[in-house]
Amino acid sequence: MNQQTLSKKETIQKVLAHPWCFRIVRWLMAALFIYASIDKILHPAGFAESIYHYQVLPNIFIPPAALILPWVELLVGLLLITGFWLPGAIGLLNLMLLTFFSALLFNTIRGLNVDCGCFVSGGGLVSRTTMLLYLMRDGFFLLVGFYLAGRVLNRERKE
Amino acid sequence: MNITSQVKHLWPKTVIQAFLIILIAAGIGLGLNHFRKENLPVLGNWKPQVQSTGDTLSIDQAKKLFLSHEAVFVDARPRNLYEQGHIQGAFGLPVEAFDQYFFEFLKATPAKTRIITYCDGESCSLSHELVKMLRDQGYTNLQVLSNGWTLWQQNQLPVERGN
Repeated sequence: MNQQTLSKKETIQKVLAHPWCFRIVRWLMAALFIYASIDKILHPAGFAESIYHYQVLPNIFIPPAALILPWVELLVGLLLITGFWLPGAIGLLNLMLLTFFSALLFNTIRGLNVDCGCFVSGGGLVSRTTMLLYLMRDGFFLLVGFYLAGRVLNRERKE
Repeated sequence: MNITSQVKHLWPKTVIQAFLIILIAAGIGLGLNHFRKENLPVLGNWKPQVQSTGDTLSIDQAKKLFLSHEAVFVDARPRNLYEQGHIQGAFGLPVEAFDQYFFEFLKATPAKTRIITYCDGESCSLSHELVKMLRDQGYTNLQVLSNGWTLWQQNQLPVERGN
């Protein structure tokens, strides 16, 4: 029984350490980031409103953020696919994921729904549930980001 | 090489690459925006668009209109929030399910009725969006009570639950 769990753990480690696992996870994250960037690049004004709903950035920084951030996402996505500049791309990926996660966590705690920028006073349970779902989703992406960072460290170590 | 020296070794490379990526992104993003017809002004006082379209009124004005029954209040928030509590007599017309509830609203509300929309929070744009949607449907006398639900409760004005 003990041996079996140990071998399971070993199998998982082996799979995670495999170059193809690294590659596929990179591609999946890349697809996600590229997909997310397209609509924002096409509609910067709409994206500016979304940033505004988070109520964390002063208004003066909103237009530059709305114009530059989607291109960072797209470039990071393309670099993740091609494998160029991986340390920089994965570093930025983690920085972005960490920022999104913190902003979301901050707003969940203060009871702001980021879909509409509405504060949920009283028992806005459903609204809080959506926020918790977002948190879980972004938390998962963050774990994936950490895995990629670990892998890029490991890879460079061998070189 | 151990992990600490590895991080030290990789750090400058990571920072330089990240910096270059941001620089390129800024160049493309700001550059394209410059040549776009409907561009976003990079500097200057940015304000959310939906916010500036609606004609707003104060809580005191809203209270007067409520007590004299001169206006119909319309709740723009999602249905579940409306059911948990809303301004007494307010109609629940969620922006997200406008089509589902609009017909009922149309039957009960003549086009010239004075309508006050509200949602919750200073930055909530749903009430402003609802004003736009109702204007498209031919309603003309529209106003927004900004941060309505919170203000209404703070002023201890009549509320009710359910449908």
